[in-house]
Amino acid sequence: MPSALHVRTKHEFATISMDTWVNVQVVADSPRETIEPTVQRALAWFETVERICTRFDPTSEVMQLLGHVGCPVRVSTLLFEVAAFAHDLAKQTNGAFDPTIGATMEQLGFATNYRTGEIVNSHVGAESGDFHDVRLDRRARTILLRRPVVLDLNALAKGLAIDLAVQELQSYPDFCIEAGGDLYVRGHNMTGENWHVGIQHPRAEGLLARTLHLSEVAVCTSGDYERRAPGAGAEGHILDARTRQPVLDLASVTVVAPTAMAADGLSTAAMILGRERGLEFLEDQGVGGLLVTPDGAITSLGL
Amino acid sequence: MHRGLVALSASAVAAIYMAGYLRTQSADASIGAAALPTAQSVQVAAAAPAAPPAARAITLPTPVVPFTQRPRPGAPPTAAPALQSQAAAAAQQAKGGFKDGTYTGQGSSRRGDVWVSIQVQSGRIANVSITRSTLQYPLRDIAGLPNQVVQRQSAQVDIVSRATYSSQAFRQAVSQALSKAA
Repeated sequence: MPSALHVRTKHEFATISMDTWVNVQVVADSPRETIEPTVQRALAWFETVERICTRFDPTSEVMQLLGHVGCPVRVSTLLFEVAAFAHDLAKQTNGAFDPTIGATMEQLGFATNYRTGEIVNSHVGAESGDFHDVRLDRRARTILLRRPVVLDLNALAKGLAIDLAVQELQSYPDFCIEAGGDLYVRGHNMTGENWHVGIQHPRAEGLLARTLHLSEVAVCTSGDYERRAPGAGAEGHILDARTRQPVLDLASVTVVAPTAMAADGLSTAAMILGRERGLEFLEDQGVGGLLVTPDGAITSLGL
Repeated sequence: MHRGLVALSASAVAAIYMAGYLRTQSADASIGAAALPTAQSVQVAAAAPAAPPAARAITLPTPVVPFTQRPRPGAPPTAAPALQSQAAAAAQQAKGGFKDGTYTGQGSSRRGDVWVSIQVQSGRIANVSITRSTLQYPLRDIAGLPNQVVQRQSAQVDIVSRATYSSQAFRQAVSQALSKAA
């Protein structure tokens, strides 16, 4: 228990980035003004990651690769690392997760730049390639697109931004940061306990599938229930890259992992792999998980 | 055997943070004045949208009204159905741009309202900023809800993990503002 509990205050900050709300809570006995600059630097990472990784802006670094198909392009460390992780995730799921799904997503109507309302069109065919068409050279820090493919790094970018914000906030022992339901918790909450993290139930708005008491971990939930393509019926935003069909076997997957990028990527991958193979995959990767089927059955992996 | 993805993600994050990409960026400035210091209660501050690389100077949004002081939106502009105005806006853009000027719009969701200001220069959107927001922190929604049906533990939660929440009110506000610029 902190000795000066009576002066501990929860300071909350929020902003919009990556088409979602980003919330930071810092529990500290210092005044808000002393915390704020650090929080602003943390939140600035969201803007940086989005600017580099968004497929909704033709001038983003990732979309500029399309202008150099067939040539290795030297890229920022940030873009290289997130693309490399996406590639590893694709390899280890045998392409069930595939970052080159971007053009397909665009054609399904996930094509509106939320900041401007503009509809993007990369003029790339949905069937144009897969992750084998992306070549990464770590030594030269280059990315080579062998064919025109649109990289969709959204599944990882939000997690990465959280992880970078966590680095920025490392001088604070007690905080949590949450972006569109992905989160990282560190230290303790206002009452000096581990953070109480609710896991949204995918079929009951406002109700929780479970509450976990956590610290020093990231939690990410992927589900079929929030983002839907405009005009589409019941289809969610998670597709099996191999069939290009929406996922039907699971309603949501929550992953608890040391980094938000891993939690984000692994929860998306497990959603696609489905109940049985998803569970095995999460077990192999040594993370905790909560899998909920469309009929509400919950399977827990160490949670 | 392959290296675990958790370890790979941790080294990726470390490499990026070490590279200090941020230091070369002006992203700090885009948030700068946005988060208002206020004493108590929940407050929502909004950052200006990130400018594309090498873009014009970033315009800072008007300070956000703290949650505690927010006036009741008296007679806000009638919210046109989002889809309709968005379609109108898209059609207008296809025809060749918007009329220059500054436009405001308002969007609502069950989490509150948001007001935006959009500057149109040379027929294109030059800047979008949030001028006011009454959006509630998501926790407030959860706190008052019946939680005994599915929830296994009675303790109140600090934070909720869910699939991506889209900033729907923001989009609606933008499309409303754009319909005026058409």
